[in-house]
Amino acid sequence: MDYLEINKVDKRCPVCFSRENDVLLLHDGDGNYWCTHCSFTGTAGEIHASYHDLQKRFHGILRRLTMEDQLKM
Amino acid sequence: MMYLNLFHRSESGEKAAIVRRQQKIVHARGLKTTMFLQYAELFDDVCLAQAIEDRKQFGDEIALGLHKMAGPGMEECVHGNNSFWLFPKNRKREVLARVLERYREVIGESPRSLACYHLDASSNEILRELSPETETVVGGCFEEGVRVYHGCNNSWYLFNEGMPWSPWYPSKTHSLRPAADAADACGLLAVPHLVRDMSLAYEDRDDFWASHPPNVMRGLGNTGSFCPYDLNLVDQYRMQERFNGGMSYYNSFVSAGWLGYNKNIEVPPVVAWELYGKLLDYLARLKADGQLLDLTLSEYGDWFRSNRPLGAVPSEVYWAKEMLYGSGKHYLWYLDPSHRVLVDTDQGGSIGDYRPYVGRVPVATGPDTPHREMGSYPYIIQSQHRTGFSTHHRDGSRTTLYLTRGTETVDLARSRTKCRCLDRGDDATRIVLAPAVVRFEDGVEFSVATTLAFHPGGRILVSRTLSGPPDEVLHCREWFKGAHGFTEYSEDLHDIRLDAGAGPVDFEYLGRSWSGTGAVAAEIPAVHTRIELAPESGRLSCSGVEEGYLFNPYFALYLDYEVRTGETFQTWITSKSTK
Repeated sequence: MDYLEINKVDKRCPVCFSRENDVLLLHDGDGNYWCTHCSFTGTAGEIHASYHDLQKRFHGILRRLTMEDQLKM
Repeated sequence: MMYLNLFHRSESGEKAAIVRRQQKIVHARGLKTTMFLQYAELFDDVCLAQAIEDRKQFGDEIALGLHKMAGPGMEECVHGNNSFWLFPKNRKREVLARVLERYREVIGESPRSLACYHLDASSNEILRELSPETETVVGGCFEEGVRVYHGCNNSWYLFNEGMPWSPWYPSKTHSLRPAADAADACGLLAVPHLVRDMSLAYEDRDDFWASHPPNVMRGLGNTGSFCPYDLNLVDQYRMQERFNGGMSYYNSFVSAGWLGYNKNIEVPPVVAWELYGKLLDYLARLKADGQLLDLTLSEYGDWFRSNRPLGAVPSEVYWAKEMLYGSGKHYLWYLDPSHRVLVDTDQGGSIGDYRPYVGRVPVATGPDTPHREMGSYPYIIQSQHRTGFSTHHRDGSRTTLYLTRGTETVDLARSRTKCRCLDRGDDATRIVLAPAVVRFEDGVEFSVATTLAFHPGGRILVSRTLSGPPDEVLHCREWFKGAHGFTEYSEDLHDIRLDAGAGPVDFEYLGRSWSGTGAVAAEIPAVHTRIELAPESGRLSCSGVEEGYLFNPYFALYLDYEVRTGETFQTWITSKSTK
């Protein structure tokens, strides 16, 4: 069980989130999650890996753009 | 100079400790806050004593918050509804009177500032009546509407689209429309609930991309406790000082729920605290460098009314440059009391969002109004909600230029460009775009240099200069396709009248078209607006209007020019009130 599960942190469905919809997953307390809005099922590890994939669209996520940088954009 | 407001709001129970910690980390950095006390905490002696002490020690402001309808006697009045702006008018009056009475009882005076997610026209009217001492409000969440509704699994009934992104004087008839003059003004100054990313507010769920580090985390815009985006957004707003008389505005309004375990954030709260702290560190550094001044909301209101009185600043612009996706797209936003316009430079300079303030559409929310929960100011163009560039059946609401050479037609919206220059002249604001390149199938390329000049009174002059192989003549169609609406679904267009110059004809969804030889127009009674396309210069060959049908529910206006390379042609897009 991961740290967040121990602290009862909910997780959002990565499939629904990819459509920009926050849908909270239900879970069986044994590491298995499922979505009430779509057919996603998965483990905590799979969910976090999906989140990481979703962040790949943000090419600028690590870039500090000062005002001077932005003026040149 | 950037003017900063830091907002917190009171909470009870476990969240009270979070609010206390928020206050401490702001004060530790030498910054001040505006604390919005909510009704329930007006009965909490500890919370009140802390707020009064913070005011005394740090110069904070104590103000009134209407985000939470809880506290003694409140439940039997509101029946579970926390959304003040969605009460019927008599309930708004009853609730506000009760809250103000308690506030005055424990604070000893009326609040000078008040905050809510949205304050509609009737809320503002009642507030002015019951508390004339209240002068500045947090009055709306910029562009929260359809996307946030969908993003909360179709359950977030806060529709605030079509409003200013920076402080404004709300009109009497629509709180999100900037007042045209003193007679039109409701008497308040409003600021947005947060400041938003002006690229992603158009393209995306704008609640993610705002001056609120935990909201950015909700959008997965951070990598652990590293989130340069939070600071990039500050700097993008600072950049706007160059185009708006040396002044920019920023605020942050993080409520306690975002700094504890939150159902929409999958990392521990320590990360949210760290990112909130880093944002505050940066703001404090800007203050130390003399580039930022932190004020309470009422102090800012006083400054704004003195330095930017109603009518003194005729228009505002925002030059947005997309950062998070790394696209570098430019969007230009223009706002004055006649209209709010978004120019999408990535689509050749098309208008992607158009709100005709000139029509002064009256909207108040509540079950006793025909608008119910729909507080947005209506659009005539919204290319995100209403198709825009054609990818399936037909295009939707937008403007563009079609270029025809022989039998081949190319849509300028296929061509990406950027803003090269933003000129804030006395007569007009001019957006000069870098030439957009158009390539035909035989490989021959042309370029179109576009300038949009925003003149007072809802008039936009679109100037295009064609470059390419000498002595080529292209057929160029200036195109405006629109439909009024609030959401992604179409409204009833039956009232619209189209005019190609021979007199108006009723819109009947029959897909008809009429041609003319000069200006063309659509009159849209639902938004009290007449949109007109008129030639200013160039060789006009034809003009026309098109009536849509139910599978294509729009009207279209166009002007056709014969343009030789090297020539310029100009078109007025004008919106007028039909009241």
